[in-house]
Amino acid sequence: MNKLEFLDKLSERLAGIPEADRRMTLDYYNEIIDDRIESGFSEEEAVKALGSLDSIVSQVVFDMPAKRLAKEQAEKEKKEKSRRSPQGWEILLLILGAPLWISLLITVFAIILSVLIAIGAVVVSLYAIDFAVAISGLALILAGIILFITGHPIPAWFSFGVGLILVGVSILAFLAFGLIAKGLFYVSKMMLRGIRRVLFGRRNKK
Amino acid sequence: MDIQIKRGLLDVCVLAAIKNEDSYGYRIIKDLSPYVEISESTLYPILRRLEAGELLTVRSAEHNGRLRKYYHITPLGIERINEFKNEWSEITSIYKFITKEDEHEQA
Repeated sequence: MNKLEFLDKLSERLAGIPEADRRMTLDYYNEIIDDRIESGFSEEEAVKALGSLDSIVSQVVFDMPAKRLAKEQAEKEKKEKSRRSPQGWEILLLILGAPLWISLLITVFAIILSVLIAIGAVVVSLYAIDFAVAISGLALILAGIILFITGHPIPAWFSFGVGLILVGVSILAFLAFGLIAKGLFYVSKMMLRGIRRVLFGRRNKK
Repeated sequence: MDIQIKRGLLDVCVLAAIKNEDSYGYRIIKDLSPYVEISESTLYPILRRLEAGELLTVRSAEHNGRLRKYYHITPLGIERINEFKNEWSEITSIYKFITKEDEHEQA
């Protein structure tokens, strides 16, 4: 075992004692090993000469008054508690920063919402156009029938024919718009999924 | 040697080792080794105890590019050595008493 390995192991074994005492003990053994090496021992020999870790640890711990150990332990725990307080500061920061991050959050949601509304509006307007074409087609057919009854056969056929064409176009357009709407719906769904992955991706992975 | 007796003796031994000149851990052990068996792990708590009792003070000084702790005896430490010297007559009389008992048994 070389010096660093020995000191690492000793440090590990002394994890329970106060930090200052641990530091002091490690310094002491570090110095002793260095002095031994300086007087002609090899590093391995110098470490070996110190005896077993068990006896070293028991000597260190045995000599510590239990009262002081308990006191230091209590102080250690107190320190750990105070180390947790930055979380309180984080909460405070979150509250103080609310005007900033809430407005940012609202902006992001507003953008997402407006994109969704725009897509919806495109779909609605496409159907509105289709509906208008269909209605005007039906109206022309109706007008054709009325013209036929009132004794104007030529404009009646014209009106009837155009009306039929418009109704046909609207039916075809309805099918086409259905596909477009489906596509837009799919695109917006993908977009929302992407945003969710960006915002909560890490959480989902857990 | 009995651990209880040795414990008390070692304190004085360590103080004696730094009485004339400040010394460091490894040298204290080397200086004492012809007289009394003392290991590094035994010396460490003694040094800490003597420091806590203000019988010695510690200072760090550079040696070969590293820090070494030197132990310096305080007046209280010197007093402790003198106390031990005074106790010695008591100890020898106790020794006499013990060996006297031995002679009685042998006789």
